[in-house]
Amino acid sequence: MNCKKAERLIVRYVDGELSSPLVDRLEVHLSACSPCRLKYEEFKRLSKLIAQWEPTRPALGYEALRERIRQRERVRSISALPVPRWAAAILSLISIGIGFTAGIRSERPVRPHTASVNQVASIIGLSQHDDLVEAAILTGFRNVISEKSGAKR
Amino acid sequence: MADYDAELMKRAALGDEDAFATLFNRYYARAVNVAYRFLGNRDAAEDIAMDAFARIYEGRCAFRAASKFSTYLYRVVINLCLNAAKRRSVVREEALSDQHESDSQVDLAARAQSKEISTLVRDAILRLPANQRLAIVLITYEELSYKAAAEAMGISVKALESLLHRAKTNLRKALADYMG
Repeated sequence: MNCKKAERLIVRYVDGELSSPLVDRLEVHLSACSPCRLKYEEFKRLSKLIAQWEPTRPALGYEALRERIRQRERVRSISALPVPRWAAAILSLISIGIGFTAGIRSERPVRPHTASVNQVASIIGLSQHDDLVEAAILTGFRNVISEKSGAKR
Repeated sequence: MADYDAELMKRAALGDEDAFATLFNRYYARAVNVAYRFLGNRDAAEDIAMDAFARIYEGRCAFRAASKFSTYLYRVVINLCLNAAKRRSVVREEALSDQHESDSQVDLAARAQSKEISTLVRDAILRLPANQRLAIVLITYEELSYKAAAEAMGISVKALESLLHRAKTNLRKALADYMG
């Protein structure tokens, strides 16, 4: 047996998983090869060391399991409502769509009413074509005045 | 023992609640400890063990006596642990608790040293990749045979041997300063 093969078997040997013919061959090798014997000693010490991680003691008992089972049953009974999954998905999509549309409509901004240039022109007695520029200026004044009065209020 | 477990499962499938309670009492601590040593967290471990037994209870009628109950339980616990580990970025946490605090006879210094070694071992194991960690937990702590551990993990015995070799080599490096 060479060292490479021996190294592969050492872990099994330490774990007590080596069949007896292989145990004999490995032991012969270990008695003659100090590097492999050293590795074997190390793996043995490692096993002892890692065994020092203490187990934990459970805090819960069978009653907690009964409660867990009841809880799972409740969840299942809710999810098992007599509506097929595809139908539930379509209904969800439709309701989301309706909600979205309604939201957009209700949030559409309401434009404040402002008089057009032609309306102002007719109010102050200017002809539509001659004095449109003046009317536009007046409309601008009107908007400014209405904004200011709104702010005061 | 395996036949006894199979008998208990059979009775549980027929509605015998006490039979399932007996199985629970026989294996619950083991299930908790497999999860605890895989995740490094007591609460999460207990949650997983509860979940495993709840699932086994729900599927008790489908249990086939061809596989050992313990192997079946380990498989369920392992799957839940792997899923939990995927969800949690960090596996380890919590300080080792005061399991021995009632033992006033033990020397305080020795207890502190033992606790420190226990923490070091735990941290080294929790740093191993998931499959190597599982192999170590099942072989070293649960003392399963290679065959039973491989079956529980759903891999070949050769693959398990390879995982164990890598795991122990990694641990040997990580714990080199503490091996005396």
